[in-house]
Formats: sequence, structure tokens, C-alpha cells
Amino acid sequence: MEEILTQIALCIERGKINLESPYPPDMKGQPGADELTKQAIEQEIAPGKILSDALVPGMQVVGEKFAKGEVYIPDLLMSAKAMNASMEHLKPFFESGEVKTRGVFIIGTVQGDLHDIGKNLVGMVVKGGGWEVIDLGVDVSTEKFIGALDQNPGAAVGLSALLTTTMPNMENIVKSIKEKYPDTKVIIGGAPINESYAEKIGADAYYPDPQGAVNFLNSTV
Amino acid sequence: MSSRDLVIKTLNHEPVERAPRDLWTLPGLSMNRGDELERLLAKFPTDFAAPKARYGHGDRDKGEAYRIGQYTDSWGSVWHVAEEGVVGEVKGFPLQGWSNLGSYRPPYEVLDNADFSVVNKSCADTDKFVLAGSQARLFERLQFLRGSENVFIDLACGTKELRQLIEMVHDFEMRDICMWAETDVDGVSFMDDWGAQNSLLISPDMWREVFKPLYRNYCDVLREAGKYIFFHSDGYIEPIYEDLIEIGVHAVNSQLFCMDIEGIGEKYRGRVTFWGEIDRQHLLPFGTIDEIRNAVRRVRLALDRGQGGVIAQCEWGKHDPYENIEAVYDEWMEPMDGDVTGKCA
Repeated sequence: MEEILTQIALCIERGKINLESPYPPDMKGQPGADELTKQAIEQEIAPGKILSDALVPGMQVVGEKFAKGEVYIPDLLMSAKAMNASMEHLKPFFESGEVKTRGVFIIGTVQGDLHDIGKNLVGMVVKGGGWEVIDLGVDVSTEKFIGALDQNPGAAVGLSALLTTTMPNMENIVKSIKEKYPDTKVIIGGAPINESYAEKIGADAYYPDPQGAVNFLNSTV
Repeated sequence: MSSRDLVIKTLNHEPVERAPRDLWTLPGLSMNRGDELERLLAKFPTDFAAPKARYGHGDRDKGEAYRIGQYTDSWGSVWHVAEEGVVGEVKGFPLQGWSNLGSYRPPYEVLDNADFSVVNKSCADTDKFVLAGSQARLFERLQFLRGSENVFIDLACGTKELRQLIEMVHDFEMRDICMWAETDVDGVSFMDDWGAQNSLLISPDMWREVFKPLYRNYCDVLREAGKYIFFHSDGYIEPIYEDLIEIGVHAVNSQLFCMDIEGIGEKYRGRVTFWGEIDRQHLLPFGTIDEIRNAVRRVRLALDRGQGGVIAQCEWGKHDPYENIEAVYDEWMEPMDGDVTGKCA
């Protein structure tokens, strides 16, 4: 791997956004994901290679550390911000079709539930895993999930719930999705959710951390 | 023995004839299931009482809490409620950007106009343990004012604006704590949610550096005034249990079932009182009565062992069956069926 790609991956893992960013303290004054990605493109490194050999591995390392409890939400958020800084430079190549994502992941918090931080963290890490993420927001109805699937055939879906009172809504949404699109992969998550609940309501998987969702999605393509 | 004595003995880790009872209810329960609540309390009265006190009306207060729609709290945070009887989520953050920080003022009118005039009488009139719920919830307040993601990023970057905001909120909360310290209440509680399902939200080091000294301030004032100190946090908080004990917290309410209950018992039994609880994410809403009774026995065996140090507490959610909550308190009245040296009978 080119040295610059290793540096970008490190910036993403450590959450170093750009030169001005004070975080992490031991990288103060160094260029971040922003400047280094720009440089990599100027050096004519293929944008797809930047994505697959720098952004994705960088996010994967921090995602795995988060799953093991070695880093915490502030660290993960800073990594996601660094990744977004890199992604900004890759945006034109996604739009032109030169770089392709691994697939589309539709995510939302189920109807009746307004919590979003868990859902947002999953979305960020899945995006960092090379997926296009369509975030439907919170309090999302069955119709809205189905509508998003109508527009994005073959997409996978992630449902989040924090309240025990909204878990039945999750079940209804999963059933409706499976009824109309039986092959759609549905992942569920949220504080009161567990594997046995996923099995009970017919979801394909439950993961307690965002990286688990990425690994599952990657296994489906 | 009076309820007050029962709770105090439990807080002092002295043997008691039964564990004192405390019941929390979510707003939707009293709104819609008042009869069931009354029936349960008639059968299993709690040993705690709230003082008769009223905080002042906030200048920014608008709308009705827990009803579908939105309301604004006294700090200016806008809460959205999607389901009747649920607290909701803050979606409007008065300090999302820092431009208003210079002119922002905490709602001191809530404290200035608070009516604590009958607090002491209400304490004298009951033989229950009087526990005051303070306004202190520093970390959550920061999130309600800034938005959670912003606060996490502020913490990572160590911004001076966040330090200024923390100081402002802490000053407000200290004043509230001092007001309670001057009353005759037996105990004062404060809270913050520090845990996700299986880890802290921020690193233990960051918690110790930024928040622990401020919590210590609350505890110092309350200890000085001879109050018992109660603390609640959702989620997995085992890494800060030791710190909470060190700063002087007497009783901790945490989601035991997210953690290694037996491990917690081994480490902290006799050093802090366990203020409940029974799994409210799975068992209370969806469990069978047998599962719930087993859960109570597990908690007793791990944390109580017939020697006190546990408050029989659980939180009754909006749709949790009556029978499940009844089973919790009924099981607490049963004789211990395990060998208290650790082996199940």
C-alpha cells in the first residue's frame, strides 16, 4: 500500500480530520484525512483504491476497537468526521460512477421512537465500510421503509429502537418488508434488542455494535 | 421498625428484616393505569416518600410534557414526544451553535421561585425515608443544550466553550444541591446516563478527568449536611462504581442486568447500597413470572445474601404487566432459598 494511504487510514482510525483539528492531541499540527486525501488524488492514486485501501480499513480498525470496548463514542465520532472529510474529495468520483459503493443500506429508527444516536453511529460506520447509506431519520413508518426499498431495489435495511414500547413496531416493519421483499436483508439493533428477538420477528441479524453490521453486510455481497 | 429506619439500616449495611421497597413509574403508567398502581402500592407500600416542594415556573417553559407533540423545558430545550406518556427526546437545542453561549443564562428563576417552605414539615409528618430528586444531571443537561453528538465531539476536542458551559450548568446544580442540603430531607438523588448496553459512553479516564470532580462537589456538600446520597445511571457503568463509592455516593441505581451482577456483588457488596433494579428492558415487559422471580433471587443471592445492602426497586414501564411487577415485590418477601455462601439450593 502506498505510504499516503497508510497515513490516511491512520488519520481515520485516530479521528484526525485536518491540519487545524486539535484532536487527537498527539497528532496536533499534522495534516489530516482532508489534506492527505486531496494529495492522494493529486498523486493520481485511483479513488477506488483510496476508498478500499485507506478509508475502509481505517474505519474498520476503529469499528473493531469500539466493539471491543477499547474506544468510546467520542473517538468513533471523530473517526467518522475524518472519514467524511476524505469522502468529500471522493464525492465527484461516486457521482461520475468511477467509484462504486458495496451496496445501499437504508437505516431508520422505527415509528414511535425518536432516538437517533445509535442509529447515526451505525450509519457512519457502515458508510465508512464502503456502503451508500440512506438515513430515513427517526419515527419512520413501514410505508417509508417500503417506499425507500421501492426506490432502491436490493438494498439492505437497518432498524433501530431504544424503547421497549416501540419494539412491536419493529416487528411489524420487518414483517411488511419481508412480505413485499422476502430477499431483503434486515438488521436490527438498539438497547433492548437481542439475537433471540431478531429471530422471533424474522430479522436476519442483530448486532450490538456498528462493525458487526458492516461485517454482516459485507458477507451478503 | 419504621420505613425510614429500614432504609437507613440498609444504607448502613446493617441486617434488616426485609429489603426496603421503592417503585419507579414511567409517566404513561400513572396517566393510564392509575388503578393498577394504587392496587400494587396498597399491597406493597414503598418505604420512600418525596418531600413536598415545588420548583418555580421557568420563563422558557412551554407546552405540556409527556403528551404527543412538543414542549419546551425551562432550559429552552425542545422535547418531541411521539408516544403518549413517554418523556420524549430533545430535538431543539438552544446551544447547538456556540453563538448564543455568551448571552445564555440557566433558568435560575426555577430555583429563585422554588417553594421549599413545607419541605421540613413533610419530612416530620412521615416515618418514610424522604428522598429529594435534585435537578442535577450535568452530562445529560449538556446534551439537552448542545445535542449529544456535539457534546461528544466537544469532549474529544476539549473546547473552551464546553468548559464554560459545564461551569455554568454545574454552578446551577450546586445551588440546587445546596438548597436541598439545608432541608430536613433524609437523602438527595442526582443522575446522569453514562452507560451504553455494554460499555461506558465515554472513557473512564475522560469521566474521571472532567466529571468526577464535579460530582465530588455535590457529594461533599451533601455529606457535610449529613444527607444520604443516591445516584442513578442507565447502562453499563461498572468501570465507575469504584469512583462513585470513593466520592461518597451511598446508593447506586444502575442497570444490573447489563453487567456481571455476581461480579459487582463480589466487588462492591457492603461498600455501597444497591438501589435496585430488575431488568426493565426484557424481563419486566416481556418475561414470565417465573423468570422474574428467578431474577429477583439472583439479585438477592449476588448482592444481598440476607445481610441487607439492597433496596427492592424496579421501574414499572407503560406496558409492563401488573403481575410481573407484583412478582418482583412478592419474591423479595420470600425467605432466601439459596445458600448465602454462594451455592444455589
